[in-house]
Amino acid sequence: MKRFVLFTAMAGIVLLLAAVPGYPVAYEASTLHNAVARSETVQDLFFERWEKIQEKELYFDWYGKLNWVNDFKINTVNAGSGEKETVPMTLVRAYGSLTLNYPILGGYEGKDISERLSGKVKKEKEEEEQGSGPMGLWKPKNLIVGLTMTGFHYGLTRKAEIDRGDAGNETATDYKYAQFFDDIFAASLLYRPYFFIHAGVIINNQIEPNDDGTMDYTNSKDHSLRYFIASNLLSFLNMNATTTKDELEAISVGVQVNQALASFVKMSRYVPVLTVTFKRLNLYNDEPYDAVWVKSSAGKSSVMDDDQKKHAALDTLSFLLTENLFGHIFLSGYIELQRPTEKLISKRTGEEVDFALMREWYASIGYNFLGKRADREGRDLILAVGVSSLWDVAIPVHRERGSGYEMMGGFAALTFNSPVVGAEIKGAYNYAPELRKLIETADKFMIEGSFYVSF
Amino acid sequence: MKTRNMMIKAIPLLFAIFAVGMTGCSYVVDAIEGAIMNRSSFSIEASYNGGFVDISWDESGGGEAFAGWEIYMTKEPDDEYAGYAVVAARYDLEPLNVNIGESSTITFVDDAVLALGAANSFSLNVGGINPGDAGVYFFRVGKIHWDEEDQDKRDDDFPTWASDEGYYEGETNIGAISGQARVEIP
Repeated sequence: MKRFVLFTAMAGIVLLLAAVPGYPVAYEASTLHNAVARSETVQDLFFERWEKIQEKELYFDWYGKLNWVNDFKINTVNAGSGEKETVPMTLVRAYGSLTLNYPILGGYEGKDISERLSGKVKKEKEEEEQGSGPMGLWKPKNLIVGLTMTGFHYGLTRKAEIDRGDAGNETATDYKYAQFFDDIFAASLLYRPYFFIHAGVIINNQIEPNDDGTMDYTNSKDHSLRYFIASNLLSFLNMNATTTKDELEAISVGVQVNQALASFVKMSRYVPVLTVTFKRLNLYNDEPYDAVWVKSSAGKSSVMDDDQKKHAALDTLSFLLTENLFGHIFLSGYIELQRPTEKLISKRTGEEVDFALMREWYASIGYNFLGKRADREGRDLILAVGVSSLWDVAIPVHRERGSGYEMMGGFAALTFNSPVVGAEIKGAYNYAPELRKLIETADKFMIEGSFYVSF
Repeated sequence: MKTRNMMIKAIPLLFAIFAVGMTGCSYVVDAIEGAIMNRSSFSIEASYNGGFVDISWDESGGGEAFAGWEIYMTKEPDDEYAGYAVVAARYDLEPLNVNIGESSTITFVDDAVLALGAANSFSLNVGGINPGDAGVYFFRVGKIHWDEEDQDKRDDDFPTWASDEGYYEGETNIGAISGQARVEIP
């Protein structure tokens, strides 16, 4: 089995490296400007991190991730010659998250913070274990409040080579074009296992760098606010919503099926965990950066007034299956079905887009070299690989080879987890969960490093 | 109660950590990434005046880690994306003249003024640029740091570090670098 996993991982890495694009194609910024899509991305990262926080029952969590995509060919005017040329640049994505949780009552599942720090578990009285009232609802064992700040920066940079003579060579980087900063500030209330709720604000900020490659964080060009609320009831029902000042922008409802069924039937721990989610996202808004027009292209242009713009949402229904086999092997499979709420017209062809039913699928396998016992203690060394497919209306705009709206990809990652610190290095090429964060990375290899400190 | 007391004591520290991050997490991680990738972080001004390029900056030097200033210019005319060569520093980093363009040279300047944190301007003689290489050049200023930022440790490891050219060449890095300044040299 070990040989099979290692072979699969090596094959995945070789395939990823072999797939690096071999020729330049000019890049035009588009969905990078879409604050709706970017808000979804930063929220997904927030939820992803909070899943870990709840799973590992953390009071403090700091997480950072740096991601570089090196193959962006930009049509730009050289300020030296005044002529237009294609210049390679790097897309940088930096993500950070900080969460502090404070136990107003008790702590996570009988382990309060003094036990966490001392490593010794106190013997609880029977009434403390059971609480009081129906299901212990009126005297819970825990009530935790939390504050989280999550931020994502996207932007292009250009490297300059510096020859310092006898002191050696170094490089420097400059900001190029608009830089995007998306931040979530959220408060959380956890009353486990009955409910938890997150509520917060999403701040989308666009900053134009100076001509010399430096940037002033206060030099905002475009700025918008969104609000979101995310809740979970009885550990199985998720309900999330995002609004702007004027309208509901996204809503989703998800069911963790195993948790829901566990109230009625005893389920083996080896039954794969299934989560089903419906989501409606107001993704298409006749904006200049959109790849499609809504309903019709007649009389529309990139400079039309806001009151003339039409809007359409994308409805999706997703199924996520995850399985932990004996702390050694981790499997996951995902499919997402889609349907737009309006007719959409491609800006490239002028014809109605024939949406595929399947928006995304992926499958991944991970192998923990440290084994079951270490996994139970929170220590893992996991080599994972995966394959995927994504269908998106913006893919033909950004792909560098082939044609069509669908793109296959994959990833390989090595992850180390321990109870307090962890790190991951990951390479991906057109891997759907990464590609949907930013469709401009189509046909480009990305490398990513992440690190966390938590307890 | 022990838990409560522990948390109450920890709250100011935790909120101080949080307050630091409140400047905006995306901005903090961008600053971290910028530090790793040596992002240009301050602006300079540069202009051509009768055979010289006058460069000035507001960034302050000094401090234990500060090792000096260096001046860089692009090696090719009319190319914003050309590589940069060092043309002035506190020590002679280039024993020969610096080749620029097809057939021009700039005489490298080693000037003790560039060892001073208070220095905030420099004039570079660009008279060696031939008419055939005339055009637009870009300039930058580097703030150089000692690799070992603790002066006491430098004293212990290499007592003559402060006046040793070889130590400067081998034990320094660009701590901060300016953005580019565009200058047309006729």
